[in-house]
Amino acid sequence: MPLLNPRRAEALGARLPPLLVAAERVAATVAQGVHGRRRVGQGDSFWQYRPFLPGDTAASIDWRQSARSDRNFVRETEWEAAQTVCLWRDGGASMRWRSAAGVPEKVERAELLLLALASLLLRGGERVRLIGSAARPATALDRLNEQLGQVPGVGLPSPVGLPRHARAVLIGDLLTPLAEVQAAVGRMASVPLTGHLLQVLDPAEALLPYEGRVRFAWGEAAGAQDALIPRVEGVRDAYATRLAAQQQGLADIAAAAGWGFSVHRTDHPPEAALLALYMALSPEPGRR
Amino acid sequence: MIFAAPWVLLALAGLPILWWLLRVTPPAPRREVFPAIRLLLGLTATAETPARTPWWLLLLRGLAAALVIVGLARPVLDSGGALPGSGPVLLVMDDGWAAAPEWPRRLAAAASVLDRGERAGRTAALLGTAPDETGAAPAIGPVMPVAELRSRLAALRPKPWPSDRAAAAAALRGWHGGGAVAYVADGLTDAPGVAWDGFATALRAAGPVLALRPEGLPAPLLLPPRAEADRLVARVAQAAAPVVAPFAVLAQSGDGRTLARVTGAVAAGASGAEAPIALPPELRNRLSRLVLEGAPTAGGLVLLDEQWRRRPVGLVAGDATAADTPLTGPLYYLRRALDPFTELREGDVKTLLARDISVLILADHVVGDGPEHDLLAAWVQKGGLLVRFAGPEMANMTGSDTPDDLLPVTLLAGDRQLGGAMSWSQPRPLAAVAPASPFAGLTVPDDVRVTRQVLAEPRRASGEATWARLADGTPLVTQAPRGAGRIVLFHVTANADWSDLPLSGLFVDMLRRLVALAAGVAGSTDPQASLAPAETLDGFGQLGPPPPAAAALTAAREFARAAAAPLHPPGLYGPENGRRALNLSDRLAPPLAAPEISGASREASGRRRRSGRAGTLAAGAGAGAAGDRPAAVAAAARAVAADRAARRGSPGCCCCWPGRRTRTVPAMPNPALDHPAGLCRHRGRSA
Repeated sequence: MPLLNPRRAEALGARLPPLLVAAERVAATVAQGVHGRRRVGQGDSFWQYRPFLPGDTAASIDWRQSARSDRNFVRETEWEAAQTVCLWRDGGASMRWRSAAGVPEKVERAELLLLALASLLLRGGERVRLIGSAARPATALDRLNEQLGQVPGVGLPSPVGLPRHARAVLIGDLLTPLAEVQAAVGRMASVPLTGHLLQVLDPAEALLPYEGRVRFAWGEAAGAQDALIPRVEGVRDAYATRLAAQQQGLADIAAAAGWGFSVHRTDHPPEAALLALYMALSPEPGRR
Repeated sequence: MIFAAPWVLLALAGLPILWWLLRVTPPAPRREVFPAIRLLLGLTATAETPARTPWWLLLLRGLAAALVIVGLARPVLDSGGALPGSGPVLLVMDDGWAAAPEWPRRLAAAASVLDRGERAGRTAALLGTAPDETGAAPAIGPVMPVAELRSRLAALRPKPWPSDRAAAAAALRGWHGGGAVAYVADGLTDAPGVAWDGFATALRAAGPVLALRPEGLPAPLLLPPRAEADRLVARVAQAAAPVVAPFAVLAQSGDGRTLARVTGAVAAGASGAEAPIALPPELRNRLSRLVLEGAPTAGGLVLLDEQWRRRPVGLVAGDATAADTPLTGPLYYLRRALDPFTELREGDVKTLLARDISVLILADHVVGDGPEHDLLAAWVQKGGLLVRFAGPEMANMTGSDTPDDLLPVTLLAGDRQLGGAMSWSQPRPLAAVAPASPFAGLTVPDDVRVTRQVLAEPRRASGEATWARLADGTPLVTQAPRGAGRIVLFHVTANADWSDLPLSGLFVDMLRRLVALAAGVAGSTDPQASLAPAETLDGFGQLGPPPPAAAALTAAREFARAAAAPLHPPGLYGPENGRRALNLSDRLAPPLAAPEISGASREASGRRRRSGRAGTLAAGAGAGAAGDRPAAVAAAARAVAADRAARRGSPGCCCCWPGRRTRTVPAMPNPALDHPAGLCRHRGRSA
């Protein structure tokens, strides 16, 4: 599966156009990129000729073009800059679970989405790096996949060594207590980083489709927890309320930090979640 | 009602224990691994879980368990009475051709008799009344346990030849087993009177008789058809019965396609019926079999060989040099009329008669005394159809001293001329054809005129001898049978010199009718050649490879006399290009209904009181070996299904998760699931 992952992710990402992440704070994070921003700025590629205006330096005049007519022209180049996007997926034990053979494990779906997003970003000329990896930002999907195997991703991430004004995307089931999530997001927001939270849930976790008398259990011998529910149908509504409260809390935390939040179920197609991520990361038209 | 395995009923004593267990044991919880357990901790159910299973559910489960136990005990509701007598049971089965319909029911009836014998712990022996494939006369098999006899019974097949009840009676006389005799009859007797009485007496002497007879009519027999001028008449023979028995005959080609289907009915009390099959000659020549619709039997199928199809026609002209001259030659119109649907041969009379031939047409050819005359006369006596056309030669000959006796009527000297420069009369049209003539039904065109003809002596040309006339009553076509054959004379020429007849469509139709009238010719084989069996019928009327014991027949003598028998099973004989058909009904006596065996019904009277159809196959088959176990088990299954349906809404069920299939989550394999043994329908459930 790890070998197939980049291929599937690329196939998934191939259906969307390359993702250009808006570089908000150019002064701080700008790095000479390879991809044009389709506007005037620093870069190598020719963008347009415009007439010479008072205030332009004489050195900026393109004499070759100006010699063809009576007016003077200034040659402008396209602005080329890149944004760094930091990605993270939860690799904990609770992610390595699925309720039935028909759906993938949550971590599998999370990695697929991460790689697909990375594929889109790389095609857009952005830099991608994994949170928790000491390696340099990856420029190829295969390399990123190798790094993914080396990063355990257990526990919520800390923003050590992340560039300021970068973007962060955190993918996980986010079932931990809200206080822990809030602390982690707060640490990252103080760097500052902006980003997006994606909660990946198994359909059984979302719907609690069990019936009758069930003993639910989780965890290893030391921290094992179990709950004997005499009639699961009776607690289904209460469970749904709790789950909704958890998701509302996550949305509030994200909103407070200026982040985005969305939910994905593993029995739903990954394209939907990828599109949501794409929409969340792509610049809004008015902010160009 | 009896139980085949009554000791299983002891398990019913365990039901109260099951009751107690179900009441005191709360259903064990199912264990599920669930990561989002933090959200579940501390949740309390909003609905109360009943501490115990409701009483009606207990009752339903107890009922299901009881039904399974009763079903396993193999109850037999319709067990039938005990077989009379003691000692081994002799099972006598008719396995001649007439037993093929409802053969599975016959086997079931026999098996039920065996079941009753087995329950009584008796041994059994089997006697089939037809000779077996090797030709050995019917003999009683060894006495053996019922379980071993069952396989022998299953291997029994109806034979494509009749039963030999005289030999079966001889075998019965040598039986000294003593016990009951069960007779599964086909309802026919091969020879009434002495042979049947002897058989019935031998049956009664062997022991108390239980006779099982079919409810319907005995099997009908399809006789070889009769060929008529323009049709084939299928004949069906049936044992006389007080009801009308409808039937349908299919005329099939060699590749199994049905070319025609005719229906008929055997009237009440009649022993046979006929149904004409009208087919154009082209289709009729493709017929290869007639099949009686319904249950397939060897007696309900007649194979048609070349004899029913091939009718070679020989043409001889008086003046051989001008015979084929277009438009004027005497054979020109004959050839054009006959060529599309018959096989034509030409030559002199001697050459043509050297091979088998159906029809010989002599166009103005005078037959004098001599070897040619003798040859022709002998051939007509044997069944040939001689068709002659008049002409100048024949008109000259009539006045001579040596009259041609190969004519149907005596001719007056000379010819008669109608019309012309020296005559007041006009050319004559044709009269409508009399209904008795083979030309009946043909439309006579108005524009056919006869200008010259030879005249028959009026006294001899009676109505029967004349098949067609002119409008003034003068015979145009006359005929006379000679031996097995027939001589037909057209009083005009075969070309347009004397009449317009050869120019009209009527001429073609007349010739076709005549050729169809002729006897067919079998493949031209050497009379001394032996015909090896190529394909033979089995008891169900299916063609297959011949059995090893089937022997060859000599073409000329033996084949004409052979009756279907183990050594000569019905089927196709001879080489590929000259198959001859030997049919079961060729030389079989008409079927007769067998009388009741007096004394047999007394033994079966116990069953008669109960069902009112005692001694029939249906009643016998009712007491099958399977008994009523399937019914009990099915009832148990319904109870379990009801239980399952009830559990859907009931809390705390034992192990099932009915919502699994209906929700979005497919069932998950989980070996940790703990199923209470024996109570769950879903043992070994997998995703």
